[in-house]
Amino acid sequence: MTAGSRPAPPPSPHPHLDTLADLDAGVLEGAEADRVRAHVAGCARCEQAVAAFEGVRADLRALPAPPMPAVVAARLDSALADLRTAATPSRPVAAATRAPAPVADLDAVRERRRRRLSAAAMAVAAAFVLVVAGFSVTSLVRSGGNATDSSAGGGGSALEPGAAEQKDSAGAAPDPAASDPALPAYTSATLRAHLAELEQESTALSSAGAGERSVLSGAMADSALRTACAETIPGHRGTLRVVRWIRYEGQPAYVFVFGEAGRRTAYVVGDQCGRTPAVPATVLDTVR
Amino acid sequence: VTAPERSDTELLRAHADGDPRAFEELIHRHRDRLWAVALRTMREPEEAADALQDALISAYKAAGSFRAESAVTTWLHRIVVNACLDRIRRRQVRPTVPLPEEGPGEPVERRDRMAERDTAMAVEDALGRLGTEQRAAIILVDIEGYPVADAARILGVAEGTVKSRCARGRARLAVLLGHLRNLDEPAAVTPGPATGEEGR
Repeated sequence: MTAGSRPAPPPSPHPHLDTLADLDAGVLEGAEADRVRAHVAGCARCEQAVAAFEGVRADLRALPAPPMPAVVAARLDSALADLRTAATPSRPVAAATRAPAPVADLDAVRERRRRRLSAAAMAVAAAFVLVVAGFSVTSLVRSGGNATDSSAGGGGSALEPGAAEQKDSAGAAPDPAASDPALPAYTSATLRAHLAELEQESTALSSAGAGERSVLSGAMADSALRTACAETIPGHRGTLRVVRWIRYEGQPAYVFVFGEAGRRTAYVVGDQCGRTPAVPATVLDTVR
Repeated sequence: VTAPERSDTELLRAHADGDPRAFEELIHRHRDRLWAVALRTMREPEEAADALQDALISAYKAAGSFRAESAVTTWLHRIVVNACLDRIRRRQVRPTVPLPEEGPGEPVERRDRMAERDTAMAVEDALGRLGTEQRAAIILVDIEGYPVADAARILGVAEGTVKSRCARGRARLAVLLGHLRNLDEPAAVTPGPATGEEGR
């Protein structure tokens, strides 16, 4: 797409926003640059628009660097250590806890994991996109860090040994009530089967006049928090149909189901989502 | 402890010459920044971790092909960004359920809500709504602070392309982040349909 190819609304005497952005970024040249620059110099509105780009740059500069999760750091360290031991087979393996793996095996491990994820994807009903978010440690351990896991289902049971590591995933002390054993408990394997139920419940509630949003209990009963959390779910689309407080892989969590044009998308987010200081719902695992 | 003050280039050369620890030392030095770029490009931590791991393995094997005409960090970023973009392209050809995009523009109510939210969250969210190529350019130039020339080298495109992608991305971010709400004639400041893919 080239600059200026998009028709601006005819009555506007102002350059298109994209043109102003091009000027600001030094994309425009020669006569066109002069013309737009002259307009901006005499137009408070367009001057303000150009100033907005500096505002955007300032916003971007101010973004805090996301810390690398410990589980990712460990995984990379392990991969690099494997490369090193594979490259120098004469070196003794210090801890002997992990056999030196040739590079080809690393590739094979990742390929096996991909195949497993693909197989899981095939099993998901096409109408649903399940996104599991807010479980940095659990998701990554399940699919990334455990090279010896050969279970074809990729189910939740492999997560149990990682429970001790999960403390840093929430970043805050859990609400005592959040560990309420009465919460409906799901794993990555069982939740899929219950998504249709959740949707049916939602439909029933809607037709009963309870509105399109329903919240059983928990922090997300607060609509501001719910909105704040939902807004941080990357890629979410459509209307928020249902929110449920659950336990997911043993951890308190919320399921957000969005619907649009007969398509539903379910996201599982950590229970700290939307709180202040900001805890965005980070999408960590996608099964399509 | 041997020579902790070795430069990036020295470490990479040492690695190519068989120093078994040099590469890990090099990566440890830069991995937070590489992670930030991978995460923001991929939007999903697990995918970012996969891409970063692929990239580091590639870099490990390709260290001998590094030429000192660019900084080691630029070279590393190029490998990481390429690994991310490859992954995104592969993901796009998979028969996934497409996520429908919203119609032209963004509802005003949505902008207002976003403007009220914590700025960093809003910015990350808006960044995720850009097309991949605009986002990658903005990450490198506006977030990581790379000069346009370096970003162009990392992305393998002309400098003008980087500038243009950044410009269009900023225009869309300005709308998404509500920086233009106070202007009159809002129709004139809507940067095209909100497909998230414009400017490609």
